[in-house]
Amino acid sequence: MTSPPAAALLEVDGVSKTFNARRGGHSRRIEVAALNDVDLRIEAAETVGIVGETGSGKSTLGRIILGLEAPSAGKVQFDGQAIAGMSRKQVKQLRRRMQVVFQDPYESLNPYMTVREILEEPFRVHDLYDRQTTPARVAELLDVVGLPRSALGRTPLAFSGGQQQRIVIARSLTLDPDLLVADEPTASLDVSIQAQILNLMLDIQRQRQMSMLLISHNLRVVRHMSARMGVMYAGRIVETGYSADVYRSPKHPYTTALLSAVPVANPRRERERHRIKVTGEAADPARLPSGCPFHPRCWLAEEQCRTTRPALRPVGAQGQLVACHLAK
Amino acid sequence: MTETRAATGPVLEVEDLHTVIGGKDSRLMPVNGVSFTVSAGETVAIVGESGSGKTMTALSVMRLLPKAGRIVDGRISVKGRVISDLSERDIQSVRGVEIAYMPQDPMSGLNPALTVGYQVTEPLLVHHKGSRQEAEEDAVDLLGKVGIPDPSRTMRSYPHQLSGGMRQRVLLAMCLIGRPSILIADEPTTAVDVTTQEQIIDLLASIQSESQLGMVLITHDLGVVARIATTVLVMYAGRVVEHGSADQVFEEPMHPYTRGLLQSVDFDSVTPGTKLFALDGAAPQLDNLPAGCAFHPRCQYAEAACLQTVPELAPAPGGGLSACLVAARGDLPRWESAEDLRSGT
Repeated sequence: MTSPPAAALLEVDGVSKTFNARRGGHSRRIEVAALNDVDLRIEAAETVGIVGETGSGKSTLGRIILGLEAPSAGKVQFDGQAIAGMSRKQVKQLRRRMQVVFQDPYESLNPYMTVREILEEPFRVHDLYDRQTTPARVAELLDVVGLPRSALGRTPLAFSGGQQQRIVIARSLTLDPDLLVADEPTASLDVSIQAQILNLMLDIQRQRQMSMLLISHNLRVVRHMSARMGVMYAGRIVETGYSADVYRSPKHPYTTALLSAVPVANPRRERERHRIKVTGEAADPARLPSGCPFHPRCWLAEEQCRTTRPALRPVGAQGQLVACHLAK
Repeated sequence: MTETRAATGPVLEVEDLHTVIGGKDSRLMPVNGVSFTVSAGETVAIVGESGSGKTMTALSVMRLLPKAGRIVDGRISVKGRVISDLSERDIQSVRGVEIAYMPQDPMSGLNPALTVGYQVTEPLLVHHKGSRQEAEEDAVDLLGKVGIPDPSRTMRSYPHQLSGGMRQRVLLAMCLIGRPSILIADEPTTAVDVTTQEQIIDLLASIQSESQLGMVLITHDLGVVARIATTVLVMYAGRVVEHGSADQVFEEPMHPYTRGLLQSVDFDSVTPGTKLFALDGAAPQLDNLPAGCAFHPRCQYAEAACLQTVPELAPAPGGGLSACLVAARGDLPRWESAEDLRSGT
């Protein structure tokens, strides 16, 4: 037996998640396959991006990694320890090491707490509050995220959306996490603010050598921020690899379509650009098509795509994996 | 008569529009001296970030302002007829007939308790344009045109039974059924997925060129603007800061804010993993505008005069109009687009 490769900080192994739901007011229960056999590794100090549309399962994956949701199958290991079956105490310990930034900062912040209370809360929850050191740590965090010290006495409503997201980021850093899960961290922000927040996240990730999972619908944002990325469709990773390779030379038709769909902010280039147009909308996880879930929208689909589900296999650059029968 | 006018003049003229929110002494002016025209077949994009006044401009034109809002100055004409001083009753003969508004969120634009058929035919029935049967035939026809796969069946569906993209299409059908000359689409692609967004844009573009609609597209997405707009207005803190053809505004933007916006989404000319260009700070609150040019605290070119004078929208050396003292003097550096940088010119 050969020795297994060194464990990554985070290992997601064959994770699936099925929800039971009721649809359309009928009492008939249906199964929604939100996530299907997903593998993911994040090394120490690495940023991995997940890109996908509504219903792709990208947020469910994030929630399972954070332990907010239990997988129906498969396992998640953090620093060599399986999250399933952990005691409450262990889970609490784990929470110190993984933090999350969600899309809407306003929803993530208690409007009745001051920024000081918000930033001190994690210390209190984990019995780490120290009258000498905590206030200094909190002040330092404000510097890190670029907010003035005067912010401490104010409540979230006094701040703009971008500033609120800075508060959320500061809070996520209070206990020096090893992994930050950022689920659409800039989707609710204006474009001029998006660049500020992305720059801040790049800085923090570098300086702290933190690992990051960035979940986004925006392929350009994911490519800019992450060394490796996965493209999700209908609960599966359909393409993964180094971001540069996936972006420059996508092998899955869905990735190609996604890339093509994002308009370029230049009318001349927009007119000249060859575009691939896909029909239909993202697959509904409650009614997944047979075979390849993308086949009803795919312009290349053949008979085998309608019947046989493609598995991820190496195509293209080193480390690039693609779940498509036809990819070359 | 009106038909001939439409062919010669603009279908929509907005002149020096000022809209105030709040009581008598309110100084909250989300629309501050906005002027533009829309011709048949033209797409005018109003670009700006949240709070810039782009939606308030649209709601002023539609006369659908919230209760606290009112137009205090300016003139709005549709096909040469002034509508800004029409009574609430008279405006109803224009709204939905001459000029239709497609709101941002398809769920708030549709009534969840009524069928698609009811809602799409309603504008015709309200304005007594033909019988119910004719209206229904029209609606089925139009639903097919906007890309609804099974129109007759969808007529009997309720909004919640449809996907986001389909709701957007129903909303569009609702706007078009009265055969308006002007369509105002407010962030038509924000609530839908990227691949659906592309379909909606293509649909808007094809319907528009087919029926020679005058379209006002309100959006924060510069990519969408680049794809379909002919004319662009960039708004900041209630004012138009740049106004020009789409080609000019993207190729040679003449306001520092426009440049900043373009740079902050320009991922292609930045090495991945390195800093993006980011404008400092955030847009000002309308009740706390900086003196002089509202953009000056975030502007890298700001000089002493910018802190005192509110710049007028004036012809700029690069073509188009710009509300910038530095640009008016011809002192903005030449704009190097991402393409120039890549090709090394």
